[in-house]
Amino acid sequence: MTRLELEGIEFAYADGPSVLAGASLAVGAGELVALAGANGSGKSTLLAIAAGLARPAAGRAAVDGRDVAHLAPRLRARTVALVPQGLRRWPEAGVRTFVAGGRYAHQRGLAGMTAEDEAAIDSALEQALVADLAEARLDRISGGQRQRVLVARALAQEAALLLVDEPTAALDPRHQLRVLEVLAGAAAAGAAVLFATHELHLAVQFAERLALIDGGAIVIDAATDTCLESGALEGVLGLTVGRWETTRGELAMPLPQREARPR
Amino acid sequence: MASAGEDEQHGEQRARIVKHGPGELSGYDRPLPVNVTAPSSPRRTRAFVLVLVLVFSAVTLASLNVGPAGSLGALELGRGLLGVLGFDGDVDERLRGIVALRAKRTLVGIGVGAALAYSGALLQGVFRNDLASPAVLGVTSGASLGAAIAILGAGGYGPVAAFVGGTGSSLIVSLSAFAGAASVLALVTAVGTRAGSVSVPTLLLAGVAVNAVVGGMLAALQAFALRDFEIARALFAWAFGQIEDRGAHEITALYVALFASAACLPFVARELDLFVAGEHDARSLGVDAARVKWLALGAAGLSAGVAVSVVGQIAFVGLVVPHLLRLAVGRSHRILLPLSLLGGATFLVGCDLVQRLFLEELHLHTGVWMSLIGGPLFLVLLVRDRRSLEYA
Repeated sequence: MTRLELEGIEFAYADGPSVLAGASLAVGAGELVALAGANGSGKSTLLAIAAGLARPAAGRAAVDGRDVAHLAPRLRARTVALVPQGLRRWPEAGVRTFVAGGRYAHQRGLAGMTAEDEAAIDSALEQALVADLAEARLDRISGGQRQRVLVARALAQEAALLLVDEPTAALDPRHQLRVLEVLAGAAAAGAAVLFATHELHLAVQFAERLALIDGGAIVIDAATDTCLESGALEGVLGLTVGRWETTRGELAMPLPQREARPR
Repeated sequence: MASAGEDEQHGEQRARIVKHGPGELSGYDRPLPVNVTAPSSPRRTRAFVLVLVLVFSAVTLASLNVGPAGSLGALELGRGLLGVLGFDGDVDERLRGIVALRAKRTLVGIGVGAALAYSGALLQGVFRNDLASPAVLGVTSGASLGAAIAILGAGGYGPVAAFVGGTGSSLIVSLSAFAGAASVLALVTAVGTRAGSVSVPTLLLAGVAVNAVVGGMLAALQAFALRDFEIARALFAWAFGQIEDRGAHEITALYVALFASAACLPFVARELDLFVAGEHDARSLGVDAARVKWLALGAAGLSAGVAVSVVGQIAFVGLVVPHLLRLAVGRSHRILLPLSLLGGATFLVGCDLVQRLFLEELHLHTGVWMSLIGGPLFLVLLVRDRRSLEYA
């Protein structure tokens, strides 16, 4: 079932160059799709449009068949959850309190948490592997833990579509794997997950499909294996695909490779 | 053939590999030493609210009981209050007069303190910065300017109002003060906000600029009005506000504005908590950020504007009270906003009481006194919180 449908999205910032020029992409329930492209190629903008936080100049962004820009704010947040790349300022709140913010769209007025809210928060903390940090202070935990807390807050929204902006940027390898495991878990649980990333060597191990954005449009949208074999990664992102025999089996790896190695 | 030195090097490398080999966990899976949150536990908050309610009741009663005419005692005070409220017709005229005067002063202190602190808490929430306050952003000087223009335009206020037709002119002054507060707020918000994100340095500098300009304009207006002593005196009262000698219609305007802006509380409290990481982030969680921002700014402008229109400029209540409350109960606006109403009232009535008890002969305006103690108190808080403010 198609959750997210982006059709011919065009977008330009005020008095800036055009960022998106006819980008189209669809993500279905239970799918984990990686969105890759150069810096400034419009990945974050496309996610913001899909989340209904920016309006495209042309084209249609629909979630579950409804135009996302026209949804009421609370309904929109119950339908789409966006995980930002990070926060400019981390509140001095406890992790659980922060994750509870994801329940705003399910609450009314000044009423307190319902049992349903508490259960959703517990399950989100559990799913994002941060249950043991629930009482910790957000401004005192590590970057990798914070990234998972952001995912937990989005999971608490219980939205069917999860948009994630560069979840592995600035994380160490083990935390990168963990965050992606969490996203894969969310997709396995039925959510449609679209994540922007530069770490293609990780993305190909988790995502079923890759969407490559270039020149304001999605130029390649294909199964991960097809992408690895087609040479598309080399053309769009300048990555060389190699094959490694590892202790855990064969691994196809797109990596940046220096043209000539000096002696 | 490798030299002995190279062998040694290899040995060292091997040793390092063994130390961090795959079998041994490095730091990742060990839980980090985390600080448990205890900025505010529900029990601590409840205890604090109880203490605050008690202190509020104490300063209110003391404020009614203290004055140049001497202490009244519980019985006299009770009778006087009944007389003022019209339940007891036999009360001595002099007693009724004294209690009415003190009741008005206390009511003004409660209303103005509550309005300024509430306005400060709202502004600090919207701009996500503990340094925002109606005075710092120029909102109170905008209100002063509005009021001053109305005083000149309507021909007089305060002592003069009696013969210019009281209610009408004081309503004009209140509305004009609100208009001044609202326009300054709109101006600094427009200057300090770009594409939905707030630049705090720009915002504060815009406040500095507005304060300077308005200060100059007020001085010019005062110079212009010097010919008329009564008007010059009324204008001077705005520079440093005083809470005594206010009329019933001014008190009514104050409380109407206070209730109207307090009525916004349920629609912004939970939302302002989510503003902490920026408007964009709040929107992604389902907050109607634009509506919340304008509602909160409107309520902040209304309460501070009308408070200033009634008593003139009183600095630091809007800055210091929310700051102190955050230290006690944490940052949740659902607790902070209602408590800033109560805390602001307690703070201003308390300060006024201290002044009347110990500094009566100096005849200082409340605004002067607030600046003298509020300024240093704020500096102390600033030094204490320097580190956390750097991230703001």
